[in-house]
Amino acid sequence: MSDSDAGSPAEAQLQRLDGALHDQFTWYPVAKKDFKDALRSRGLWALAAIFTVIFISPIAIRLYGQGIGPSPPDGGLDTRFVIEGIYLNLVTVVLPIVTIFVGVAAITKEKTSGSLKLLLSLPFSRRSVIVGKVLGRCAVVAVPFLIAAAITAVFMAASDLSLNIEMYTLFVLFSLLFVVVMVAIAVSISGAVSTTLRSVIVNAIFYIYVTFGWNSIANGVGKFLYNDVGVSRSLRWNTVLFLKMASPTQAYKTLVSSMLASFSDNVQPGLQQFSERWNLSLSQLGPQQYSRYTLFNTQGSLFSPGLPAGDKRVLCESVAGGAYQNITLTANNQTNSVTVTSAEGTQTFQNVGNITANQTQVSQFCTGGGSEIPFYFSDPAVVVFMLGWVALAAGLSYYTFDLVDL
Amino acid sequence: MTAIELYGLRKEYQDVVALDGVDLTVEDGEVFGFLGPNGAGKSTTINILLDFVRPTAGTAEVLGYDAQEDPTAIRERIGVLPEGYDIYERLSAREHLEFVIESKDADDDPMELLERVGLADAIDRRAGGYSKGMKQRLVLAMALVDDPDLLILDEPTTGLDPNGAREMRDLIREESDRGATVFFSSHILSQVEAVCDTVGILQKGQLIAKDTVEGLRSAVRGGMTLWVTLADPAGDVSTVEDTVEGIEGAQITETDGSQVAIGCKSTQKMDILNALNDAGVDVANFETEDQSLEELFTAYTEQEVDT
Repeated sequence: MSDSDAGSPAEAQLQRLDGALHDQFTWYPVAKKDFKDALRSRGLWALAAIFTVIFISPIAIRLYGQGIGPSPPDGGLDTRFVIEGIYLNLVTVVLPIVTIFVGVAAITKEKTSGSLKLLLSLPFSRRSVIVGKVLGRCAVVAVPFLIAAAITAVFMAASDLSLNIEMYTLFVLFSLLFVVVMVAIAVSISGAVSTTLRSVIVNAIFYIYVTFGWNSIANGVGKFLYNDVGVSRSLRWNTVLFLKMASPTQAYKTLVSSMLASFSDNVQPGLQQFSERWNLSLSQLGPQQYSRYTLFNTQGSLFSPGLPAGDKRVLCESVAGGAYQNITLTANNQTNSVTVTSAEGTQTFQNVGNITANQTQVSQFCTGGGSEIPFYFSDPAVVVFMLGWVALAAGLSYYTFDLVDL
Repeated sequence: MTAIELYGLRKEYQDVVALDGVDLTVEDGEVFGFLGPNGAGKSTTINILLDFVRPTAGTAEVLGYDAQEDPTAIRERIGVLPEGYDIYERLSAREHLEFVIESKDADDDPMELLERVGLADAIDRRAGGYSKGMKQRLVLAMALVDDPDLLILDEPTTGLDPNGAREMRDLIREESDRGATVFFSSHILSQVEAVCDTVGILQKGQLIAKDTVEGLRSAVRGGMTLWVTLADPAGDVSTVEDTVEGIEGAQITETDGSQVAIGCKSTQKMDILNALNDAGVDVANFETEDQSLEELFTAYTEQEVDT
């Protein structure tokens, strides 16, 4: 086993790291033992296999399974589409189930079997036990996740898909942050209750609420404040976004979509067509502004017309910090010209085609050039929101595990 | 230097008082037997020493540290065999010991420790398949890591066969010879008697006796049981109770139909019989019996000791 004479330099390095971690952190032996225990259970390898299958199969079906599933979008699959259109929803639904599965009995099992008594008769404080458990279980999720992510990357690189390795790596890193948050919550619930069954119940309620209920409740609160309390539109939408950001799932999604948006132009589809048609150079929303603005139904869809203009304006200007522009098209059939008027000036186009009537059309777009995104909705703030959940988990553990009789 | 010092220790759970003001000192190097029937509060006391449970009032000091303020400093220097523990099924005995050795920053050899407890041949087997006795031996080996200054053993002989129980006693002696303090609890007197310097008897949350085994024996030596057979048990039992209550050093230890057992000093026999006569009790017959330490324990704790 781990004898002192290490064979290779890599092994020696690993042992030095092991020693350093041991000297530095009191929780380290707990985390290590927990991870070792999981390695034995084979569950870890099953998890890696499951992750790999659920990562690869949706792309494989789109690429090669013509006729049996959704076909690739126009322009082929790229990394951004795969992450935004497939993985983001997959991860937010599946990963919490995995973290709950891994963390739900972390403490309750030791409580009911009595091995907690052995653990706590060693020089560990209760806090070290919780921290060690959280990090050990994080490793239990993170290692198979990373294995699967690596296999998937190899698959993507070998397939017809264009792999943006930087974008993909950042996505994996944000997902690991999400894992830490969700494991911390699951383990702290496990520490707070007396039996595994109770832990399962509380964790399941939390999961359903956060994954499926949170957004509607945030929107509901906004509607209530606006319709029944009579707050301003600005306060309404700021509150709704704030509540949405407070959900660990939404915070994770937002961070990833900001990241994705930072890789390319972020013009909303309607605006893009418009600017190309009239050769306009409108300034664009920044990646963070874009991801916050498009979080809401500001684009409309096949099934819904989108939010009213008044709400869009507020979302654009006071929530995302953009500029909500009126762009006026005036067609004149005498001069056979079209005049485009925006905040950035007026342009007249001659001989654009057969203009049969004089008409004026006003379109509204959220563009850059406003203020910056408010600091409380910026990416660093969203990271703080996520870490807030870790702090909440720590607080819960302190009052329900550190301070009480076992 | 004292190994354990309890001051006015009290623990209340919702509707029961588990410990009711326990003061106790265990000297350094002592082998201390903590006796009492099940439910007397022995485990609660140990749980407070290990900071699993926080006292309602009073304080507990272990090796000079406050048990509630400095639990990890205490756990660095003690070895524990808790009650109602479980091992990690998927890890081997070696891995269990490596874990403890790493946690305590010790440099013991797992093999040597397992040889001491007689579990060396199962060193690389998964502990999930161990018998109750093997698990007990493994946890004992874990308690011995890093030569602790104090061993706290909660009912260490449960689950062991007579041979195992003897080995446990030998091990306690070895550890005591090395200079360690041993604090162990049991509800079986004979096991305590055989190795302990000092015995404390806990009953219903109160420490009712604390002495050396010798001291307890000599206290017993002058004691006896007086069996009185009543001619009219129905009418007289309560009078007997009242009368005996009024005599210092005497108490009723058992009532069995018409017979009443009275624990007393051998010099008190005639006083009691005279007092009963004066109270108008019709004594049909009486017998005397010398008391053993076992009976003393039973008398103290007034409960069936299940072995």
